[in-house]
Amino acid sequence: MENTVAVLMRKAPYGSVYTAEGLRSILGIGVFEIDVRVLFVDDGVYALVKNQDPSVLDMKSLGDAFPSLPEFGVSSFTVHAPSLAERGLSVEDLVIDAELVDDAGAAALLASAGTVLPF
Amino acid sequence: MLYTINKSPLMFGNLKSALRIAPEGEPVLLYEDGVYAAAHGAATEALVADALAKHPIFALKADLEARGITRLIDGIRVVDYDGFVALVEEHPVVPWL
Amino acid sequence: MKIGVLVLEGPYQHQAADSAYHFVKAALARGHEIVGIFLYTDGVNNANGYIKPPGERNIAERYSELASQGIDVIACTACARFRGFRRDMVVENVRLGGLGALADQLKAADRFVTFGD
Repeated sequence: MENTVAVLMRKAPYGSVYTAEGLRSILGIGVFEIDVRVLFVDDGVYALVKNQDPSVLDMKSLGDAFPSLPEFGVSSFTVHAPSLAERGLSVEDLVIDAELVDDAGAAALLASAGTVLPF
Repeated sequence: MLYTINKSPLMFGNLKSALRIAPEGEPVLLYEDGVYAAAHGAATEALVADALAKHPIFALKADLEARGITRLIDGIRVVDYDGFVALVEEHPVVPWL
Repeated sequence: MKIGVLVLEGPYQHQAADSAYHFVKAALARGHEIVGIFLYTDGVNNANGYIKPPGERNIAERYSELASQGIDVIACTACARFRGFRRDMVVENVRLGGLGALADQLKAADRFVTFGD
């Protein structure tokens, strides 16, 4: 419980640095014996959609990066289902297998971690 | 958990989004531009009034005063930074940035 | 109680660095221990020792003052590199550090508070 951190991803990728920094912090703190659980809510779910190609912007693809996280010991991915639905998306549109939760499930995940890092 | 909101509800969906997820009874703190949600007469007053039936809602005094917000929605509790810290003592924080 | 603080925005552009400072002052006044303040992303710019705002609050000095009281104020090394923020620009008492330092603060803190946009 003490060393569990929920990383709360609510912002869309590329338009600002937050998703990329969230990813960097997940990698950065995940190697220091912290159990990282990543929760995608609101525009945060856009970080997981397929067919991202920011090479045209000379940026690195976040869609490629999230599926590689289990190699670094981070494999808890949860998506707020209502956020997904209201963007016309479903799990088939995502680059990872994520657990879907409702409002109460999202709140429970944040509460069980006890520490929340927002990006 | 203490859900903290720093965006104006008239410009951004942060408050609405946090209220959707925050379980009933969990406290909400409005600070920075989030304090505009505490203002009486704003178009978002009904949203906040409904939320007050489910959550204690606090607004940070310094940010209210800085912005000249003097008429508050009934039920909003004003706290200073000392009160902000006291809330954090009671609850882990969910910064809904 | 042990409290950790993360700052995600730079000086003057956004209120986050001011809010974090006032929060930390109030937490100290209530007898809490601040286990660290981590300046991340544009937040590293709050530690720029060359900040000289004419007639305004000096945000870098504020963080230097907190660090002088024994609080571990750390500016993210990689973020500094991304922003051309050299080691010799860091304001007195603040140091550069990696995400391992953030991990240490997260582990040490009973409560963790983030200020950002």
